[in-house]
Amino acid sequence: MTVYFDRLKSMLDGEISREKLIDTIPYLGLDIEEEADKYLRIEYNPNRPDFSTDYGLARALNSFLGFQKSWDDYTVSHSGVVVNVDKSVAKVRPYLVASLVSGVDLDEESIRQIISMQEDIHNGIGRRRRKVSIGIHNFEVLKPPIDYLALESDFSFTPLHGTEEKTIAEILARTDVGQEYAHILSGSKLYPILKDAGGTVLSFPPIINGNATKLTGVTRNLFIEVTATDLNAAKDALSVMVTALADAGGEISDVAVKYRDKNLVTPDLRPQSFVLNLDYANSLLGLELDAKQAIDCLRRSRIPASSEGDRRIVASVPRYRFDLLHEVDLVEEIAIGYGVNNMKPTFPEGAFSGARERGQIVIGKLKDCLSGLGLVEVLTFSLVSREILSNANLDNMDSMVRVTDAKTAEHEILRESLLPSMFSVLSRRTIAFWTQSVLSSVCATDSGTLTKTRSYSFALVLTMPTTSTSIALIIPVVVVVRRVKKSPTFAFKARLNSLPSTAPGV
Amino acid sequence: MEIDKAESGIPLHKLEKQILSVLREKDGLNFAEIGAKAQIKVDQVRRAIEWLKTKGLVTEQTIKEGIIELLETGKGASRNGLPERRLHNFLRERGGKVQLNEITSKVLSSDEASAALGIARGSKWIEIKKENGHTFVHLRGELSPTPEEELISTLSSPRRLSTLTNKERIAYTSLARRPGFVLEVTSKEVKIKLTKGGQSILIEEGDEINVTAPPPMIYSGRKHPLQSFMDEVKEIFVSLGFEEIVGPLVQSAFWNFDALFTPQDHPAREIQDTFYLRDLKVVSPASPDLLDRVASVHQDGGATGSRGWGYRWNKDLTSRVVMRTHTTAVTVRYLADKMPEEARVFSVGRVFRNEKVTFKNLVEFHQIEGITVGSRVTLRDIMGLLTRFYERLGMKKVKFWPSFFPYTEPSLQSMVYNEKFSKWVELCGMGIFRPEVTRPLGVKNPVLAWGGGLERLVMLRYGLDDARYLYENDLEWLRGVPLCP
Repeated sequence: MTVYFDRLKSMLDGEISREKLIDTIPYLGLDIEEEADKYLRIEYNPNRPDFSTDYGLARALNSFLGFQKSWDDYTVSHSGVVVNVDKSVAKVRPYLVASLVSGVDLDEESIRQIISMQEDIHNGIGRRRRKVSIGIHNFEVLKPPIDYLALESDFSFTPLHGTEEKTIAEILARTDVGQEYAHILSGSKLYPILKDAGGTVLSFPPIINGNATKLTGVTRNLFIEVTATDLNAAKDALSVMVTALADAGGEISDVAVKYRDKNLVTPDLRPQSFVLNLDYANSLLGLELDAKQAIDCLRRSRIPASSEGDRRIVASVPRYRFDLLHEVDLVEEIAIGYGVNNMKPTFPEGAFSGARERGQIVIGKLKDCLSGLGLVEVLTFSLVSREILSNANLDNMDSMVRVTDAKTAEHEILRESLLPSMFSVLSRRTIAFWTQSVLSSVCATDSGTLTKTRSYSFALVLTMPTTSTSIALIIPVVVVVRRVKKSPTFAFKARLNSLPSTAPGV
Repeated sequence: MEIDKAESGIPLHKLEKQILSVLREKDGLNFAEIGAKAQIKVDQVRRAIEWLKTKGLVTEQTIKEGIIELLETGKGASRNGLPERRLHNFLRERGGKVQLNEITSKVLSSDEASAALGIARGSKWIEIKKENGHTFVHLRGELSPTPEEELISTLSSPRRLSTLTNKERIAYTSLARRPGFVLEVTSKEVKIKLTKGGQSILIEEGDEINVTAPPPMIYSGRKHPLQSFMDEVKEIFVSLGFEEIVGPLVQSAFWNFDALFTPQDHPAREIQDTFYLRDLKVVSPASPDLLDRVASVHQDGGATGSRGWGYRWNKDLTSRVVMRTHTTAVTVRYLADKMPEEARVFSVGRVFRNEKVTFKNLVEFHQIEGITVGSRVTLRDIMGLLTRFYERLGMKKVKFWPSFFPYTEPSLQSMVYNEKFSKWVELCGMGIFRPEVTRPLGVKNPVLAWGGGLERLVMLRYGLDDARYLYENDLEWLRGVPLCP
């Protein structure tokens, strides 16, 4: 999220310096990634899509800084607009929720903020549009009621920014956005379409909107539709979107969504009620807040609350805070409202005796011995490339465990032996190896298997001026290894190899 | 301090100095002679002479020389006199006249006799006459001591040919003509001579070490810096009362994700981010009871008081096999196995992410993680533990602020001030395990957890700006990097 200082300050109900602002933002749980003259680039955590616009940030800052001690709930008026959900969508993208936002006057930066929020929702809770996608339309050109139905692939309309009609099949096969998201609809013979009473196509979710309903500079009334494979996620996304638009000056109106078996009226922005045990909160945080203080902390986190007796707090969680699942989430809100920087670290009470794990102790001893013999430890990866294995002349590559869809061929196969990696170290370090008379390597890793056997492997590669010196060094190594092998709690696999330095290329 | 090389000269070993001194008294000695004079063993002499030769201070001269020594006959003559002397003495004893065959039977062998008689007749101190059919030898003069006799008396031990006087030389030539008397052998002798440099070089008192000479580099065997840092981290954990646990790199999706309340459609679980192992499945990742409890906590919160994620949980997805994406998979299995009421454990190990490798992201890296279980542990405690942990790693300034992790609540992030780079660096994340994580496992008390990447700490310690370098195995760096930077 990019936030311009001027714009943000105009949204705040109080005065704050740039420095104080920069100091404060992290204590909302946000990371400042870049500080420029005019703007900040901020990263928010994926559980808080309401932070994807500066509207959401301003909202949080206003309460956190105490600029707003109370605020009105978001109200939803009645629009009378109806969307009919046809049963044909049930198998491809079954859910739709919608809303009207009227009277918005969006400047260029506001539009940019809303579009970036839309993208963030698509990629976050929308799971790259698979689960949820949002369309924003010019309501002024629409003729309700609106139909949500599934059509065959030869249905055609003019997609967003297009000049001529294209069939669904063409859009999926020939446009960038179609190719990118076609997989979401694969396997379906019918494709979801939203069109109004006049036959104007709003969108082909989750791929692309129609061109006819696109926003223009003078659009004041917006129709927001969210289609989804999960109804709750659709409602969540809608709540985040319309509350941001409301903060941008819009008035929210509901839409009646008629399914064959149920009628919904969306959005439903009624807060959710959570009960919090104050003692639970205090015991987790290590604080001794009374009800009033806790309620004050929650208010700073923009969660209105009241007390029920001394120890019970009833919080009224705004709809867009669907990240709250359990009363423990309110505990965190109290911590944030209290200010994490105001919490003094304490050291936990109780006496504990620490200890190293037995196998690790043995490995440590072995490493000490190997170091004493002049060996240098190298570090190599457990996931290796085919190349490393084939260079080591391993022919059982196909029977080795491979990972799916590795982003790089360097890390594709779970190695069974350390030696191929060691050879690769040798081959890349030829010069360094040759310039020294004695040079050796040892590597240790652990590799677990599903049968719960666990093996530690050591591999040594020694390059020496003569074979006899390397044999001379291997003998004590073998002795060391043998001794370790006797350890009863420790399965050990040792592989030794010596390479006379006269071998070319090694 | 500058040292002028010309002035200080070539450094000399103690043995070298002793030998040079001996040779200055008397040049051209052999090894044995030098050894005797300097009172050092011959093999030490030989070695030091080699050094002196390479320094250009002495040269070797090989001298070939004839040596004469007595053979058996010669030795006999040396004891009993030369045959002519014995002939002379015998004749005098017998009154100056002896029958010839008496000489060969009593005094001399026939060879000796003919030689001695030849010489005596040539020098005219005998006369041989026939009387009554018998041959008699008459003594006619005195035999004064001969040069041959004198020479032979000096040859009880071998002599060098070069030591003979002119007179002795003539005597030697004469003796050498006689068979079995003397033998000449050629011997080679090595003599050491000082060069000009050897004569003039300053021999300073005492032993000296050339402090300006580069010493040979000797490298010790070493642990990898990351491993040695890991040891340090583990020691800190132990010192704070933590017990080490280990677990497999390969985990079922259940332990890596589901048990940690990560919803099954969470982006982190996609193959774009996580390594799934091809064609592998776990038969049963956990007990049916536990699977049921985890299922309901995902779906509707189960008995935890949570709303859950509100979706249909699919058991099949739990049996897929992944390269663990965090050590928390190990921690949570420990919690499920032991259901501790009180505990402090830690784990350090490799974790895997299917990412593009960059200077700050590795596909495979190490994570450190610690948990504290207790009935009265608090969020402030975890801040205190981590502060202490950083302090022991030498990082004094620490900041905390709120953060988010799917399986902890509340969650915090920590930043430490790096003195070397004068900047704040984001390090470990921490929090209290959500009840949705701990309750299905049977853990009732809060569990504090913190964790982070080891590589980042190592990079700070060693001043690296590229995580890949830790796996480059640059041997110069591995052997030369300071132990305690």
